[in-house]
Amino acid sequence: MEEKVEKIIEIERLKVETKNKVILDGVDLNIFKNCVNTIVGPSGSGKSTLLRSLNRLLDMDPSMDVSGDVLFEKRNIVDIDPVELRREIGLVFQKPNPFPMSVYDNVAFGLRIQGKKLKKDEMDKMIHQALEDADLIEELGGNLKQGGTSLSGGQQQRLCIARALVLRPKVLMFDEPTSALDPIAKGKIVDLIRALKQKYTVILVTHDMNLTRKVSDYTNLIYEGKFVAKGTGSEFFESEIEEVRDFLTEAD
Amino acid sequence: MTSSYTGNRREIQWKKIGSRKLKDTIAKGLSYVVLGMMVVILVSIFIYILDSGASHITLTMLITPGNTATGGILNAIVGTWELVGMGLLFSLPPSVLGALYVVNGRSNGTLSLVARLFTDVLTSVPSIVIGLFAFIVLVQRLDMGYSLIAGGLALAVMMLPYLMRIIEISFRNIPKEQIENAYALGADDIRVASRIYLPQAKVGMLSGILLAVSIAAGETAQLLYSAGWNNNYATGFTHSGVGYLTYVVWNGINYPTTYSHYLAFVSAMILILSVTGLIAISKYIGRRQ
Repeated sequence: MEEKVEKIIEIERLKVETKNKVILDGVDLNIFKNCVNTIVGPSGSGKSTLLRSLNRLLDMDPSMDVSGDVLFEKRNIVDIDPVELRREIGLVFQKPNPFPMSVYDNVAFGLRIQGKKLKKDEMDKMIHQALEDADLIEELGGNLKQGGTSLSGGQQQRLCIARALVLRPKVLMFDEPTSALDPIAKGKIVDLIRALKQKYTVILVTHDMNLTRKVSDYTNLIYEGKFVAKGTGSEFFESEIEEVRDFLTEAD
Repeated sequence: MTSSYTGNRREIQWKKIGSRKLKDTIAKGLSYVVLGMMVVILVSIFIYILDSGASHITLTMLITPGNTATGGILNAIVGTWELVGMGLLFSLPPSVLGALYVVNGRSNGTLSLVARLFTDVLTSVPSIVIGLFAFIVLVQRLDMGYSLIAGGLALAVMMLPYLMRIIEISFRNIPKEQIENAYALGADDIRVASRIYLPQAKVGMLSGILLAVSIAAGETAQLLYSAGWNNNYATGFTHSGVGYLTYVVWNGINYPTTYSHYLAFVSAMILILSVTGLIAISKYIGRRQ
């Protein structure tokens, strides 16, 4: 199956370290187009760091030393302007964190900072589409003027997804998107991730094995900063590799 | 046996609570005494200044310029706000940039540490030393003469550390995730500053500005050396001295006429009222945030 699917991101020997700690120790991993690529691993294994290195958010932290290659559509990400790269590879954080402005302005944020002048109706259309794709438009009942922070936790998280979607990224990364949500809100995110992979490539970091079972096409295990195992949805769960078995036992 | 043991324990606990209550009462009492002393000192200054000022204030004083012995103090009122405005103009932009730099800390931390140390030291440099420096460098070497620019710069040196610290605090109150998220949405440094930091910190910044302005309005020493004095309004940015209220207080009291003493008290009253007003507004804004 794997060979037929196109790789969109290729990670080679990715190493991230600080002065006194190695966080990622030579990770090799591929991200496949229009699939849900899940990265699992115990807390502190370097999953979030991996995501932040893909959109070069780690550049912001001078204490992190990054080496190795990450190819996005065959181009090395160090040759891509980080601002452009971050629009192509969106990131949704663990804790929903809308800006203290209206729903509309929240979604418009990414468009406005591009500096391009969009016509009002064009902008409206894009924002509506993003909110629809994030499965939020109906719940809001057309009231986009309400404050982003006044929404419920699950709605806030979907607002953050809409905020990333409006930029039409090619890849959408989720950093434990459900860990701060209640079961119902979680269920909606699960459905949403499934729907999103039609249009986008999804990278999902989680230690929630139920979520992984439900949505993952490719599952990758990272353990103590090293890539350990990968497998398609069911393959992974039947793997005989010792670390996978240990991790699954602990996670369940 | 068991019951008597429990009884003992209760008694011990009671004793402990009793001694804690005593300590609490003593500490509270001492705090009230100190607070009371402060209130008494502040209130007596207030009453004395307001009483001495308000009973001698005339309209002519407020609408004519003068030389601290005759005429009014309008040149000093206008000059004070001109100097403070100039000081703000020189200190606000570097404070905002400095605070952004320290908070966003893209450096390895050493430069942030140096900036912090620099502002801390600056807070404790005596104002007369700042004044002397301004006199030698600005008034003499750069040949500005006693002037608005020299006075404004001398005030700015003093306002900068306060402004920077308060602005830094209001920047730090913004959740770190929001900043990270803005970057993740493709914002560059300038956009993160203009769309996240500045709008969200504006209330905190405003209260910082008011505080810095009220501190600057009450300064004397560095202005003596840099703004000089003017019996009339300043006519330009350089080579024209500026009047200010603290000078009237200082010089008016030294001048041996009753009228000059009245001018001093009225100036002191205007100063104390505007400073109190500004601090009250900044506290109100700060609390609303």
